[in-house]
Amino acid sequence: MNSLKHKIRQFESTNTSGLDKNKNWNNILNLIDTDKNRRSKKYLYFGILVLCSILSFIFGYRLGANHHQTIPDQQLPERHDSIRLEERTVVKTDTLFVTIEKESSGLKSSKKVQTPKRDTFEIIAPTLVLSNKSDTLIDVYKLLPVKQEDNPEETVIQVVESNMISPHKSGRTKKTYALPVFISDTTKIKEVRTKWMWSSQGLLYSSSVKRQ
Amino acid sequence: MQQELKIISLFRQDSVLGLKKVHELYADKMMFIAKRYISDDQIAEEMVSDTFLTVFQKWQQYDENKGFAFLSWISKICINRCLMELRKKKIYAEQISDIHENIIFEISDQFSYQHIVDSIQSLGHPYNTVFFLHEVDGFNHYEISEMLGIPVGTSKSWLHRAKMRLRETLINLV
Repeated sequence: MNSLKHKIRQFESTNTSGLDKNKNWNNILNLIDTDKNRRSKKYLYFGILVLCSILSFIFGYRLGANHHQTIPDQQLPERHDSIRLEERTVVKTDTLFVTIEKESSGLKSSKKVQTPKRDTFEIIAPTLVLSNKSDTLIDVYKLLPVKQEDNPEETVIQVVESNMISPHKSGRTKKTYALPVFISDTTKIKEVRTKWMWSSQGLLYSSSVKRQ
Repeated sequence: MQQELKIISLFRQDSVLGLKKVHELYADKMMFIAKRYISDDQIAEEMVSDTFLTVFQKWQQYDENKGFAFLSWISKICINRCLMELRKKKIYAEQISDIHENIIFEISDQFSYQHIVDSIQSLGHPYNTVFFLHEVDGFNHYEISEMLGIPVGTSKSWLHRAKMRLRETLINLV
């Protein structure tokens, strides 16, 4: 009597399994080739994906910020606070996004404001910045032109609706800000687009206007 | 360990050359192992090919300093590959209560290798698998339970039943 294990192992060490070694070896070589091809394709696709991500990040950032500027650190404004303008910038694009609503006699209306045809639209960036600069935000605001009584030439564009990610709070939160923006002539403005972007330098602000 | 060192140095020189050497040495052995678990010869051959592909991909993971032979390492790869194939067929769904077994299996010289292997394979899954793992390849119940994803008690009871059935089969053969 032998143990079964011993018997099986003894047989296997002294006999052949019937495996066609050459055929099996060729099969293994084919498998290795297929595996190499699959891996190289995987790396290629991954490389393309990474490249596309980098390109989309670079171009997306650039396109999104076709006009932007860094705004120095300040306190987060309170709701409906007006922020005085400190720097004047020129927006050359004609893209638009948000309809300007007009506020008259304390009532808001969505009447479109007319401006003369111009290639550029002057807008003064607000001095709004939040202390934590790590989050990224590109957002669109609904704007309200409001006449400033002390300076009739200056139009305050009031942000009445936003969907801003505040670095002070987690998640999305709705806030309302007033952004005084100097507009030399508001009569033919159809729509205004603003974008906000958190960057390592601070809050980047960009605006563009579409004329009628 | 000389053999292992030679194999590893060959792999370091040229991994295909190393694999060819390993194939020459162990292909038959792997085929025997695969045929124990997979009754279909063609699928068993595929398991052997897959085993050597895995060796080609992972030979750096073999540590000759750990003291176990290259043959043990490659055998375990082959067994795991066969078990994966069996798992695809979902044969380990059965849960059986714990039965302790302490039967030492001995076999008469009158049975040929083929008789024995055929008889074990005729037990059907999962009994033949557990029997081969425990009685021939030397895994304990804890290892088998991990490999098959079953409780230790189930492994023991399957082995117990396998031995009982095999005994009946061999007695009938006589």
